[in-house]
Amino acid sequence: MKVRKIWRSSPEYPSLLAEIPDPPKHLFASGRELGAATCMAIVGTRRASQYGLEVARWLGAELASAGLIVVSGLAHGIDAAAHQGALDVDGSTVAVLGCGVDICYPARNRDLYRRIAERGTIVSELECGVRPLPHHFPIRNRIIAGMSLGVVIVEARPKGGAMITARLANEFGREVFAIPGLVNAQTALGPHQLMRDGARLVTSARDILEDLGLVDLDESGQPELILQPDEALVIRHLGPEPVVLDRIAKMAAIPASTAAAVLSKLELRGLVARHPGGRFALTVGTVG
Amino acid sequence: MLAKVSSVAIVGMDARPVEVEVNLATGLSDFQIVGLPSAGVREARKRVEAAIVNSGEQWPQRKITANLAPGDLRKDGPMFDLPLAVGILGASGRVNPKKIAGYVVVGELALDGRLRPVRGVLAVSLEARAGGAKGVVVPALNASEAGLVPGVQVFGADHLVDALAFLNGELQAHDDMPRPERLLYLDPAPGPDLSDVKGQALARRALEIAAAGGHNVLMVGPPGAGKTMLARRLPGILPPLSVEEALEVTKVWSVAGLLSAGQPMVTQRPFRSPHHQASAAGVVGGGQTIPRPGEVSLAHNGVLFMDEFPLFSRAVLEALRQPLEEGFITVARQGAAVQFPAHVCLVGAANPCMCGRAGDGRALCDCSPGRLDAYRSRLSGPLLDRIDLHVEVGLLTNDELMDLDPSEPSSAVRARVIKARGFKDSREPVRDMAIENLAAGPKHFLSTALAHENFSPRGLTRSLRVARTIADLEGSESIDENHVAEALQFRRGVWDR
Repeated sequence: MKVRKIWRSSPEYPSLLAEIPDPPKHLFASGRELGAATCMAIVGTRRASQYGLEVARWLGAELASAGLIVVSGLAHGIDAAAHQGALDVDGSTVAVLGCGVDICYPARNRDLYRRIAERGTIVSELECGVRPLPHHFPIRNRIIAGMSLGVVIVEARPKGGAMITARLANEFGREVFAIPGLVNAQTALGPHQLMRDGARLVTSARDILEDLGLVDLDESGQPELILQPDEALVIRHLGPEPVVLDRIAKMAAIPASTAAAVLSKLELRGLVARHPGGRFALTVGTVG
Repeated sequence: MLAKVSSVAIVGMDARPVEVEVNLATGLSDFQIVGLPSAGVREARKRVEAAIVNSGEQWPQRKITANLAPGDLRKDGPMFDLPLAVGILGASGRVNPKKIAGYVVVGELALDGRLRPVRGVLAVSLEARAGGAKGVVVPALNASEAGLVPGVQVFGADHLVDALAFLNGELQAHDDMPRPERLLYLDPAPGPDLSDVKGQALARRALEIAAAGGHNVLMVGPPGAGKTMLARRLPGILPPLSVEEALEVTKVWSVAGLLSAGQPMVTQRPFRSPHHQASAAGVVGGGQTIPRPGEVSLAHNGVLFMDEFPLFSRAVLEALRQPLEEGFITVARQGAAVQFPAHVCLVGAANPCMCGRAGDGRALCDCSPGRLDAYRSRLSGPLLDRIDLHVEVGLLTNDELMDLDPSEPSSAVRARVIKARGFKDSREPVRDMAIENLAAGPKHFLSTALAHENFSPRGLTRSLRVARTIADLEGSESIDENHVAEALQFRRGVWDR
């Protein structure tokens, strides 16, 4: 693995990062060169709900398609989903680590780490070989917030690391976006608190892009869906709330085996997501 | 004075012929058994002596030597009591040694001379037929089991006295043995019914496909979702046992000593559910000197249900790979290496995570990623590859339960399963499960699916196998897009995320 050192004087050093009160003297990087494109951070809890993971991935994909660089921390959960979303659409993504860039932490994300090293950039302030110690992560979070124009908090517990990133972004004068969740979900307490404190409530990548003035406000975005008759029949009975197969089959008045086949097809088309317990719902990008 | 009695030793699944030779010599009264007897066989000395005396016979006050030949075969179990007693009485002239010849004799003696049932009698009877014996003399409670083999004369003795009377020609062999076909036909007991399970359409469909195609199933869901309940209903949707299958199962159960007294044959597909702390020897077979069948063999031609599947020891889980692949298991021990049949439908049940809440929907799982990883990695890739159907069994909310239509009964599902199996046997067998052999439509569909990261290429062959069975259930010669699409629902979900 080739690791390069980026001094603050280097043209590759992110300009936004240089503006924060205590910018790192240098960064270590591996992978592609850090471009000049706008960076947007997507962060959140490691123990995310399926909804959170879906949103993070979807936002990652949408923002990357719009030409933004998706920045996150390679952690489990929201971070990994955001990176994954950007990679899904062949977009660029930057993973900022709390250890040396030669160490994959958490090890479980090895596959993701390798793909980011190929198609994105792995960045750290720490020397190669430095192990991930707990006090490295708040320092890492300041880089995530510092190099990004804004930070999207997808799901966070009130005392989680993502909240630190949000606070830092606010201190640096960056935009803080928050994704709403269920009022009774642990993982939504963080974003909701941020909204009360003045973060922008966003429900799509478009909201974010509009807010930053990166897109004009015309509505002719969505291409129309073409569905087979059986697909149309099944999708009519789905919403954001996961439904068991039995009920879908009953409402659509088709055998469960047929419903199962149709749901597979819809899932392949990215319209339906499978939820725990053999339940199905529309994906976050599909509004029923 | 010398007498010889034919008997057998049970080694693994089979009975091996053993010649019991008894010699009475002059000298101090003594009784020794030679020919590699285990400590258990040696105990026969006390039982045989007491049984002979309590039957009103004379105990010869001589130097008695009994030899169990061949001498290099380890013998275990109490089945040599009766041949030893008959041999001693033959040598002392109480029974005509010529009349003993040609009968295979087994049985455990009680001190009062009664005969207790022994294990492996079906194997004994099969060996007797193969060895060209006239018939078998067995404990009365084993008689109908011995009688399952046509062409073998069976005498079931209640007491040592009866056995002597038969061998002396004073009593006749039984000739009213129940035929296996009849025993199967007479068995009325239906198992628990699928209609008891509310909802769970996907899981019920998975069981139907498993029954039709002989696939293994992994059910993943929180505690209380109904995984065990579903698994227990799988034997009831499998086709009824054929005579050959029933005899195979009976042989294993008989060797394991699991047939209840007087039960001649296993007539229902077995359902075995070993506890997750079971040892490898208990699950796949083993024992100290001569291996005995384990749970996977006791479930032969039936269902092996492993609740808390990931919590079984690694040794057990990895040892399952051979039987799942080949339908039998080889167990090697000091005394012998034997093969047990193990053609089972495996149903594994697992919680989605250690805390069990990951699939609940209402509660959030609080397992740390590390713990979750450790838990999921307990099931190895090669093992998971042998389980074609993965299905999530969710906990239904009250609302969902209220809204359901009544579930289909087992009889309807079983009818479809039998039909599908019939169709499968009638159609051209599929030699190569490859994506290239699909028609253009389903082929294109499956390649799209494989490109989608939710569908791992690792599951390709499994999905194809499942799609083939779904097509069989529909009576379709070729696999179409809908078959493939439905098969994808049973891909490795939780265990691949």
